[in-house]
Amino acid sequence: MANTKNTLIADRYSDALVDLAKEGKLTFDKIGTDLTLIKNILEQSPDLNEILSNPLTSVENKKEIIEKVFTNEIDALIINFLKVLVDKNRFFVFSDILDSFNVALDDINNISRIRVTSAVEMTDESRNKLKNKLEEKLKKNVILDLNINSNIIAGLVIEMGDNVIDMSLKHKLEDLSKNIIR
Amino acid sequence: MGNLLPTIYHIWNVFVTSNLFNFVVFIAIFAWIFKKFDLKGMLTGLQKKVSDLIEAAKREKAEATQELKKAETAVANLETELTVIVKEAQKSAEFISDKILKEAAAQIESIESNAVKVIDAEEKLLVSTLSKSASKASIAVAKSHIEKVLAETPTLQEKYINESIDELDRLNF
Repeated sequence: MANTKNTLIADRYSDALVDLAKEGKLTFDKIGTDLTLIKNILEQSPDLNEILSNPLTSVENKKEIIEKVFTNEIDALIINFLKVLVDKNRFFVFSDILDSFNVALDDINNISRIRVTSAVEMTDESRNKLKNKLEEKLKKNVILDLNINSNIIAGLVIEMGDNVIDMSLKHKLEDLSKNIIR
Repeated sequence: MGNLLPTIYHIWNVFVTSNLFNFVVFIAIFAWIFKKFDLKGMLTGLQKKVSDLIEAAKREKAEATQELKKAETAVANLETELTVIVKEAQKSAEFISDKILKEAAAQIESIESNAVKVIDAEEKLLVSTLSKSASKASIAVAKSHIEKVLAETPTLQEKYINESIDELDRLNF
């Protein structure tokens, strides 16, 4: 679970990026693509992430590194955004900003990302049936994040943000056990 | 004078050889002894001593009589006192006996009550433990059986997935 304080900070910076798109200076897709690219580069180079997040590294050095690494890949406005994070010593929340921006983007695009866990791989038919059902209920475009976990025995576990709908046989057996003991 | 001597002799002879003479001699000796050892005084002392003993015996007899009377009086009251003492002892014994019996009964009741409570609690605990154990065992058996059936019938997985999807209709979110 993300640190609440970091999430709040990230939300503020994410809102700034959303405003940037709303003002027409950049598209939501471009912002999302650039942020994802930066995230991938940082994941591939933990040292780069460490230098940019380390408060002992000077701000000037950090800005110089950002210029050299991202200039040809990333829009200038996003590079300036990264420099603002360095100035404010908030680069360590970059990953949270991306998550927050994606949530905001999904909200703007009326998209709901739902994590679904099954004991075996779902058939295309079941996947579509579930997707349609959820879209019908939520009145949103649904993107399923499918996972397999044999521990649930059978059935489905559906996670929508903080809400969990456990319809697995494992959960039903646990309920049954609790009722018998009572 | 010539005839006198034989006569005297004869008389002396008769006198000496007679019992009278012996008696006189005996008396003389006895008188001498009587005088010599003060037999009279001795007899008088002995008589006084006997008299004193008789007096003392009389006094003792009188005292003994008095003691006897006292003892008779005491013995006469003894039966009454004994009866009173026995009655009091009986009352005391009955009171103590009742008290002990009541206390023992209360104690037994308390022990029985506690024992019943303890047994009841233990019984509930045992039932609960057994229920939990039986429940866990049942669930484990059921789980194992379901997994076996699911492995033998792969289409069941799809069935449960579809049931889960259908279940969404009943939920509000």
